[in-house]
Parts: sequence; structure tokens; C-alpha cells
Amino acid sequence: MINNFYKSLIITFILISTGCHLGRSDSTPELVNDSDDIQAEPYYKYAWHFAYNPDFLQQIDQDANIHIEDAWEITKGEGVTVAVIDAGDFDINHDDLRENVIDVYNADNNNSNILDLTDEPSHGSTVAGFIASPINGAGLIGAAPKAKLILIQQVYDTDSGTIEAFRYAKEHGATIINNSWGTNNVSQVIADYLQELKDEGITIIFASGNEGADMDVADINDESELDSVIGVGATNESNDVTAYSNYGTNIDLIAPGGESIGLLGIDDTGVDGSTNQFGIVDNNYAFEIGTSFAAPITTGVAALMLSVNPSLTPDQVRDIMIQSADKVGDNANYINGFDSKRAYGKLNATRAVKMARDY
Amino acid sequence: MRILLLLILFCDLSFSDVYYYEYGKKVKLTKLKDQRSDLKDVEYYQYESGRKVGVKKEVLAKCKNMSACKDIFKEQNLTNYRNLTASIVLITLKEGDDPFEISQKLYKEDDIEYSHPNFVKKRQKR
Repeated sequence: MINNFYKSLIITFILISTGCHLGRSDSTPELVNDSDDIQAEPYYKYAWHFAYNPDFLQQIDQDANIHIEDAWEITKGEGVTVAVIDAGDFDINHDDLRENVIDVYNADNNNSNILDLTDEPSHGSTVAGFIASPINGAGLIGAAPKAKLILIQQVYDTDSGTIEAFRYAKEHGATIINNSWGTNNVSQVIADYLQELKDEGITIIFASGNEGADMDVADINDESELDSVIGVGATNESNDVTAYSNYGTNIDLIAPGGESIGLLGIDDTGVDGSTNQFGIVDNNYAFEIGTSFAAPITTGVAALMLSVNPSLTPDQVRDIMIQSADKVGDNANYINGFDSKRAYGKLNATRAVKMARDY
Repeated sequence: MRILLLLILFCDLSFSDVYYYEYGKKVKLTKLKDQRSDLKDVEYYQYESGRKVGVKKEVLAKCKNMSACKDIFKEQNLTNYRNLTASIVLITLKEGDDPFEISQKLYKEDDIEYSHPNFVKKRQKR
């Protein structure tokens, strides 16, 4: 995640100057029961990563979103189970997460006692929310709001624990596994096991990282670069790759991660709330920046694709995402479809889901 | 002068290189002092690139043939192990066993595809 206090001040000024609704609410909005009314989500209007809203920040490029609303007319991720492996911090009682969580697992202790760190940073909740926050009127929704979630905590960074985490996801029915983390130094045993999972039909998605590094020349051998994985970098509000997004020949796609205002998601800082709310959302939500959030948006779209075509292999999911991607960036230089910093382009959800359906 | 030489020898032994094989290549590490972990039995090392890594007193091995693997473990007097997957085994070492030495021995076995220590690598949230 990237925080930038000065950018926050600028954005707050822009929000005021563009007449965007202000007025912080500290109360939880009344929940809507089992409705498909996305517009009833009080904060959906700020989800520029999903759809363009001319009333919210005109500075955001109208194509910066992933064009997902037409995809939701086809599917919202029904029937797909997604696992999220994260460093242990999940607020499983968050109103915009709870009802889609079907299982939790602590990979360090081999039990279901995952920490519910309501007063600690909860990066995992934010990541999971971008995948499958439900349609319930609480605040916002994920890319696949009807997919189900397995939340897997792994605090200690052992190779053996990582294998336990992935194995649990597989054995409990996950067909997609999101990973908004990386080591830059992947062990052979992990690389090998991820290949095995891919061969068994599990789509694995990793965030590329936030150092703005060229992963081909730096001393980096990252999980996101593996052939068995879909590696995802981040785009910004101007519909181009962010400056912080790690890139390289083995990264596959870019998707919204934000750079100035960020993406509105479940708050990752616990009950005290984030400072990244710009006075327009309550303490349970925050604007987030990083490839950590580009990855789960991609994961959510993968869930939509598998919902309409469960027989797709991980390679087919990747190929469709690449073929359907938008070639963004004014200064881009796509050679054979690939730009060194923008990979194969930016995720286009509706095109990907339609291609998956017709595959 | 003699004391100085002994001191140099001591330092050399304290920070001596170890190695293991990964992705078919020999990887050298230097042991670090004064590195702590919340985990039990973790020692810290540094790659030639400067990157740091923790090493548990455990070894991971991928078996080509599980039955043959078990025979190898028996020969090596490695009795405390369990399967993490159908072919990947986690071996917990006895007091005094060196994870790098054990990994090297297992790596040389035909029925073991590869073996390396159970590393503790800092995972960054992104």
C-alpha cells in the first residue's frame, strides 16, 4: 500500500471544488436484503475502478475503469469459490465481507483460529472485499459479489506454511487463489507446487509489487513472475500504468490499483479507521493504493469468467484476459501485444467474460 | 599476533559460507549474527546479493518415488518427517543436524528431485 498525505490534501480539495458530496457518516448504512441493486450500495458511486461516474472526480479518465457493469448482467460470480492467502489480518465481521466468507484457515497453526484483528491492520479484508464484497447495501461491492471466499491466514513466512496454505485452498474447493503479497525470492518448492496446482486447474493470481522495479534486471525472482501464475500490475486514475507498479516480461496484465485518489475498499486499518477517507465514507472504508488491490480485481474477474465457463483452464483464463485487454498508455509501445511496463494491457471485464462464455 | 590470528579464524568460522542447491544451481549463503525471529529454531543468513533469509531446522524434499525416498530417509537417520503434498516432504531435523548438509545429501539422491532448507522469507503486502 502507498500512502501520500499531500495527494490526500489535493484530492480533498478536488472533491470540494468539483461539488462532490461531502459529509462524513460514522453510522453503518442500513443493509439491503439480497438485492441485485448495485446502485443501492451507498459508496458504489466512488468505485471508479468498476465504472465511470461523471459526478465523481471529473479528473478520472472515463476509461480508467475495467468496464464491468455489462459483465454483471451475465454473472456476478455465482458458484465460484475464491481463496485469499494473506498475512493474517482479516476483519471477518466486516459488514461488507461476512456473508460471502464460507471458510477460514490458519496455515501457521493448522486450525480455523484466524485472528480477527479488528484493531489491527487488516490488509486481507481489503483484498477480499475487492473480490467479493456482497450486494447488501452496506457500502460497496467486489468484482464478483456472489462468489464465495475462503480466507487463509499465514503470519509466519515459512515455505512449508505457504504450501499448507495453498493446499488447504485446493482441498476446500477454491478454483482461484489470490495473493496480494510476494517475496521477490520464491523458493523452488513453492514454484514447483504452484505449477502443480495450475496443472490441476487452479488459477493463481499474484500482485507484482509496488517498487516501480524492472523485475527482469533487478535481483528479483518473484512469485508474480512464475509461468504458473497470472502476475498483475496496477493502473491509475488516468488510465495508464502507475509509476510504482513493478513490471517485467513475465507480468501478464495491469488493472486498477490507483495512484492519486486510490480505490475505495474495505478499510485496512481496523476500528480506528484510515485517514484515506477524504470525508466522504465512514470508518469502515478507505481509499487504497497498490498492486495488492489490482490483483483481487483481476481475481474477481477470473471468478466471473469461471462462473460462466467452469471448464476453463488457468491458461485459458490467462489467454482470454490477455486477448481481451485494452492497450492503454499514450506513450506505450506494444510489440506483439506486449509493452514492457504495461504487460499485455489493462483488464477489460466485460470483454473477458463474454469471451469466456463463448469459448 | 597469535591472538589476532585466532580471532580471525574464529570470525571466519562464525560467519562461514554454507550452500545448498536450488533450481539446479549452487547457492551460497553467509550466516548472520544477532538476527532474531518470533519462530523457534530459525537462523538468519545472507545471499551474495545481500538479501537476508531465515532458515528453520527443517528440510523440504521433493520425492520422485515416495517409497525410495523413505528408504533414503531411513539411511540418513531422518525419522521425523511428514508429507505436505503427495511428493513434497517436510523433514524436521534432530539437534545438531545441519539443514544445509542434509539438503546437499538429499539433493544428490537420484530418487529426490531436489531438496533445500525450509526457508523463512519476508512476504511483503503489496
